[in-house]
Amino acid sequence: MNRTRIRVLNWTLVGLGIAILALGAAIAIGISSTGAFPGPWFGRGGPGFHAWGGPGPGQGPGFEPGFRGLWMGMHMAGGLVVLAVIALLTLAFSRRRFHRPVELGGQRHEDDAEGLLRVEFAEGKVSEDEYRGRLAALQDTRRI
Amino acid sequence: MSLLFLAFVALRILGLAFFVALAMRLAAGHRRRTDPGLAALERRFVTGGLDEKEFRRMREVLES
Repeated sequence: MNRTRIRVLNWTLVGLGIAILALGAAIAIGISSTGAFPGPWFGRGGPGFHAWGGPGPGQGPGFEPGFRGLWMGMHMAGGLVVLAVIALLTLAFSRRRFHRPVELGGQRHEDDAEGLLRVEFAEGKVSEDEYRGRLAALQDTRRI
Repeated sequence: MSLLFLAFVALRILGLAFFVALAMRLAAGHRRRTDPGLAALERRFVTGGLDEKEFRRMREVLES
C-alpha cells in the first residue's frame, strides 16, 4: 500500500541476500581453510559429517558419535522452531488483515475505517485535505 | 567460542531476518493488490468519472 515501505522492504531484502551470500562464502572459505572442521567436507565422516545417529559407513568401532553433527542438527531444528513461532505470531497479529471487511459495490462494514475512508476518497466524496486529516486522526488514535 | 560458530549464528539471524522481510514484503504486496481504495479509484477512472491527471494525482495520494 505504502510505496515507500515497499521500496524499503525491497532494498532490505536485497541487502540481506547479499549479506547472506557473503557470509555463506566466508563460512565456506573458513571451513576449508581454518581447520575448525578438519578434513574435506566437514571432517571425518565425509560430506556434511552428519553422524548424530552413530558411526557412518567406513567409520570403525570406537568412533565417537558426531557431536558436531548433533550440534548441526539441533541448530537446524532450532531454526525451524523459531520460524514456526514467527509464523504463528504473524498470523495471530495480522488476522484482521486477511479478512478485508470492505466490499466494493456491496454492503460496507464499518470496522475497517481506513479502508472505508480510502474508498470515500477514491469515489470523490471526501477531499484530499479531509482524507489526509481523517487518516492522520485514525492513525493517531490507534497508537494510543 | 570459535569465529566459525559466531558466523553460523550470524547466518542464522540473517536468514530469519530475510524470511521476516520476505513475509512483510509479500503481505504489503497483497494489501496493495486488494486495496479497496485503489480498486474504487480505478473503477471510477475506467467508467469515465475521472480524467487521467486527476486519477494519477489521487493514486499518488492513496499510495503515499
